[in-house]
Amino acid sequence: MEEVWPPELAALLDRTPPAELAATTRRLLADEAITYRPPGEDEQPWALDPLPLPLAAAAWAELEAGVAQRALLLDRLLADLYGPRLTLRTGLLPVEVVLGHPGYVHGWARATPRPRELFLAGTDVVRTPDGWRVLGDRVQAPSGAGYALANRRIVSRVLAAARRGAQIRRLGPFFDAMRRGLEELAPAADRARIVLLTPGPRSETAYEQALLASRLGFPLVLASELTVRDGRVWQRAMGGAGRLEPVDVILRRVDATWCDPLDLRQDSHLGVPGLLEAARLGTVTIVNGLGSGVAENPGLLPFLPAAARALLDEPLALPGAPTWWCGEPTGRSHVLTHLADLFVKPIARGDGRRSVDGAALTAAERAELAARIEAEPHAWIGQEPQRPGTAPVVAADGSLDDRPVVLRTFAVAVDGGFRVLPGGLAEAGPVAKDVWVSGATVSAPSTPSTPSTGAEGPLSPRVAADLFWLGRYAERAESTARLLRAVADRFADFRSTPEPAGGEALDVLLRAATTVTTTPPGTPLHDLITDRDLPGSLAYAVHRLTGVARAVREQLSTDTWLVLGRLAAVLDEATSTSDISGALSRVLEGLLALAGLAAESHVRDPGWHLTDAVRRVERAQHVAALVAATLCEPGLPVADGLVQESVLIAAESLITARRRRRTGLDAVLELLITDPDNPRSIGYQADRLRQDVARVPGPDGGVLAALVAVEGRLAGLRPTELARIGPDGTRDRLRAACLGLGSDLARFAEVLEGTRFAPGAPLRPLGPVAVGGGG
Amino acid sequence: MNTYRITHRTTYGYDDEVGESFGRAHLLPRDRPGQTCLDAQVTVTPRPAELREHTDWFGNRATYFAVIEDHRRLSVLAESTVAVDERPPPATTPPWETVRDRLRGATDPLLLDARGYALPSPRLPVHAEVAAYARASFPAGRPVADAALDLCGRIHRDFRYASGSSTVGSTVPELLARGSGVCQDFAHLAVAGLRAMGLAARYVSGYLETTPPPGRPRAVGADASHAWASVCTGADWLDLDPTNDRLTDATYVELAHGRDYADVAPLKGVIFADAGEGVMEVAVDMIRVDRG
Repeated sequence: MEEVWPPELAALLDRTPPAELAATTRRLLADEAITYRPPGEDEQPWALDPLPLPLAAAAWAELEAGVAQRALLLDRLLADLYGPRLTLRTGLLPVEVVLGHPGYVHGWARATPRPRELFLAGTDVVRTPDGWRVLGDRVQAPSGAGYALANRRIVSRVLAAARRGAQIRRLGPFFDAMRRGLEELAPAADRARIVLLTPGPRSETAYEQALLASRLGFPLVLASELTVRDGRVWQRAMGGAGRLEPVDVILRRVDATWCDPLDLRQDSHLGVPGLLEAARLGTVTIVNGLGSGVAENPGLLPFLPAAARALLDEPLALPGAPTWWCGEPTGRSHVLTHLADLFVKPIARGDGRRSVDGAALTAAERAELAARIEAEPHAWIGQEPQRPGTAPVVAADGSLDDRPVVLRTFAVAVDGGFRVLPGGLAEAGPVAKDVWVSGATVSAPSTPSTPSTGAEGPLSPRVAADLFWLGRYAERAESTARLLRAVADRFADFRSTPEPAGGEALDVLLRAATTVTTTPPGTPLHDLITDRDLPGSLAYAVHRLTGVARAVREQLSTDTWLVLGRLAAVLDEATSTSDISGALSRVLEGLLALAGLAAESHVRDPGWHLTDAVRRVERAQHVAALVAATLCEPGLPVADGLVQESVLIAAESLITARRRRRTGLDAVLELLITDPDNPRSIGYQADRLRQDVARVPGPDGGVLAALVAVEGRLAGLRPTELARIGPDGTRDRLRAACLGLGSDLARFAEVLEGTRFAPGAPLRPLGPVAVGGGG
Repeated sequence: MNTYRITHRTTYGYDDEVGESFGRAHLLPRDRPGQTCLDAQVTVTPRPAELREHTDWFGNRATYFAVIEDHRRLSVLAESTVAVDERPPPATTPPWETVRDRLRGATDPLLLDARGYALPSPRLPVHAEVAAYARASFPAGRPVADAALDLCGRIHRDFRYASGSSTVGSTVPELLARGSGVCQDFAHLAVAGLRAMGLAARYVSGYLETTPPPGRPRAVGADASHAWASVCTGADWLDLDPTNDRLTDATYVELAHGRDYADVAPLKGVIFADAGEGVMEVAVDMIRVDRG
């Protein structure tokens, strides 16, 4: 593209090699865990080129006006197709191009028009020597606006020096407008409840869905969190099976056909039974409308100029790539005679139909294609190939390659019209590009544009369950790291200088390391740290922690990802280093940063209290298991001293113990078990649990009784008695107390989980009625 | 004129509690030329939290219900009284090509609506074998009604009626390969064949009065739901029954029509339940209450 790069950018590029910019970009993408999951593959890092696509104000203004007009046109067209259908009755649009497209949802038609059919429109355009040309419309559930936001955030940091000086339109106001636009759509005017419906954390664009939800401040929900009752949609809320909060507006990222297993695809597990019924009644606004997929139909392209004149009384501003629909005799004969010069596309994919470049086909393949078109002409179009403008991207070797650019623009319905994102998602070959539109940001933001963490609205059982496991794995990783470091230090002390006491202490600690982590006896220390497939290992806990965090990404801050990203990296280092203790310290550093974020950066909402409660249970269980595994069998006095010291280190209580200057096992046990002031003691955890439980809504269901059992057992414990050696020569009372506490705590966690977010029953089809007889 | 009292009861039994059942029924007969529904209602047990009726895109009466209490048995009972007139078949119809060509670009209301039924539909995508099968009934210039009846006659002769030989999910190519099916399959083949020739065809769901063997009383619950096809003749729709190789008459009651079975399934739904097996029973009675 013949755009002039902002001088600041040119200057920066003169100073910095492109390969360096690309490396920084990759690192920042990894730090923030910005990912994408290609269909059928594993999640992978988002591919972003450091060089933005610059667009001059004038070129942008032309495109912006065209994109806004197009969104309005498609909205009006959809309103007609699901309402009076005048475009069909008057012959403006052939019935076949509309009803022959699978995106037309018959059940979506409604006598009373809806306020909006189209809320968020994506338009794919290229810049040709003749100007902007539309390649296609993305109006089913367009993705990419969130990635555009992420691109800007990363590129602004990579090119910070250039970004500061350049006058570039900001993206933030668009997302503020999106939020306002959604609020406008609520059937009832006061305080709208809005949710973003997601196919789930395994969706291709899960990253951006979470980003959008947290940027907009709306909860991200799975279909299983919604239900239809009394003709309207409700969100299940934590706090008992029956607790429901009404939903007014659904911004959906689930394709329409999957949205309602009752009236649409019956095999869908991504939908809400009765959603179409509620939408028909008008009690909920769903955007984009469930019928909007029909407007993605490239067969409509030849008819849009006439539609613009009829529906908007304006000429179509943004031309599409020249397209012929085969459902018309003239279009069909043009396509069939020019097969070699056209892209031939089905109006909708599926059933073995796909887009082909006619030029690339053999004569036999062309004949076969022609036969398919003849058999089902309405299902095909031919489109003139476009010559898109190119832009340089940084190649793997650091050189610059020119790649053709497709730009996806976004328009959102607000204030009675459509507002366009100043920029968009540019794709140049395999990488995305940020888009820099010159000019000052016009309007002042109406709401603060700081990204929010967590979202308003009730805590859903699904999110609660994920927070539960997040807290559990975070604490487990931290306790495990401390324990293994304490053991590793003793190992370093006595491995090469054998002495009876040291050797005995090391044996006790090594056994404890596997007992406490519930790993097989004799598992090497190295595996306990790095084996990601070994349940109980540190790597396993960290891996699970990251996985669960991804599922509740919208609840977590960007900084959390920074910490989690580093954590995985230092754990990888631990596999190769000889300084195990040092590596474990760095892992611990990351986990402490995470705990610090939880303590200092999260509002005390029910989700926080739930996570905190789980951490407390996990910590108390760990201490109980550690004491049971290490302090019940008396050994050589010197060895016992070494073990006690290691246990105090593992329980982060050594300094307190020394400061108190009380020696003896009873003092150690008091510090670890009953002391209400030691934030590492079991007693302290129990006090916190009582506070947390009071702030997590839901039916009691035995939660309080389970907590009372823990408290009751604790109250009966006397450290001096526990330290005594019993008739069998071991500290049997201590062992019984620790094991009892462990099972009381496990029971408590189980009851808490069961009452707060037990999963619902799965969805299945009602056996269909067989048609038979009569003959 | 015949007047029928129809009861259609579907019962699902489960070996475990079902928490929620959502259903969509097309069990209330629609009105059409020659057919008037005098009264009709759907009763769901246990008592549904919601039961609502609306007219769908195709003009059918669609019922939504939701049961949200625990249940091990779900019963859906449809009861209706319907009056049906004999409709003499058209004396002559235009050649099938004329009807096909008239559909193109037509904007008069009947033909505009018919164009939607000339397209492939979710359950009846385009298949070369179906077109090849249908073609034999459509020599040049044959009146459309004759051609459609000929197609029905061939389906009746070429395929064996075998109850239980097919499921509601059966496809037309499966029928062609297997050589046997039920009324739903035959109606699907007729509809798909007519569309393959460029004509507009609908799938019709309903009932057919059955007569007990001579000297035997009518067995209660012995009737069943039925399905047939309807073709646009250019001026009207003509219903034909490939299962019985005949035009429909006043012994047929239409429930609903659409592009294929999926648009008019008498009853479908989803339930929220843990693992557990279910059984289903259907009982239909169609009793003549008044002889006209």
